[in-house]
Amino acid sequence: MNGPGGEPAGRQVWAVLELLDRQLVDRDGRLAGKIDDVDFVVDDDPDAPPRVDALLSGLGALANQIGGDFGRWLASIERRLAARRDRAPSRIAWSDVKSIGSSVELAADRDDLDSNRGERWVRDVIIDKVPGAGHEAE
Amino acid sequence: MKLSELLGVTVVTTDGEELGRVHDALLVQDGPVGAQGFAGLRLHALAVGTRSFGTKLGYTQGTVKGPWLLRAMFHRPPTLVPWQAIVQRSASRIVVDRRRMDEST
Repeated sequence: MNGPGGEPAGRQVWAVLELLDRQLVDRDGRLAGKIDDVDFVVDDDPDAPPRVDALLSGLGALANQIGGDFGRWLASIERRLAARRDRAPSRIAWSDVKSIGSSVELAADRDDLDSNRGERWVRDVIIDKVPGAGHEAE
Repeated sequence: MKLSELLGVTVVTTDGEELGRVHDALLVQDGPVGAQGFAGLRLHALAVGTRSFGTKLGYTQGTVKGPWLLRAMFHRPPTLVPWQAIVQRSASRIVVDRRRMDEST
């Protein structure tokens, strides 16, 4: 696990500095939300370190970070959106991640990701209801 | 367990010494390779300290190098608490074994 001198052998990534708020980019190079939290899987063995299971994105994950009244308000909006679409919280499985850099590249299509739920909701519920929304821009 | 559940939590030793709060988590990419050929990340250690501003800017972690004046002001190596040193964890407090910390570093 560790190299000579006790230093970890693999690439080191600072979770807050290098993951939180990073842009998610789908397999076609389209923007797919931002990382708001990281979900770990914790083994029953207390000596086994937690492993990153998924990246969390969207209002629900952001609400956990913010906390307080505003965080609870954001969480209520997320729950409302989730209830309408009968979806689990926005999570991107670690197995869908291709690389970490100035953005985080995914192997998935953004339309298949829950992280894009808010944008889809705005498009379907608000933008599409605007008169003329069905016509292409002239 | 979520990262947000660790950030900001007070860390104390089994002797009662307060080390500060969790400001960041050091992950190491040495896990099993996934479907995309990208290795998994494990939580190696928590960066703990009494000041957070240098951490937010990246000076504490050492990933931001300049300008030299800001580096001199904010670059204080964080106290790294290896995951194996944690003996108790709750929503408001993490208790660590100082001897295990010393053994791991």
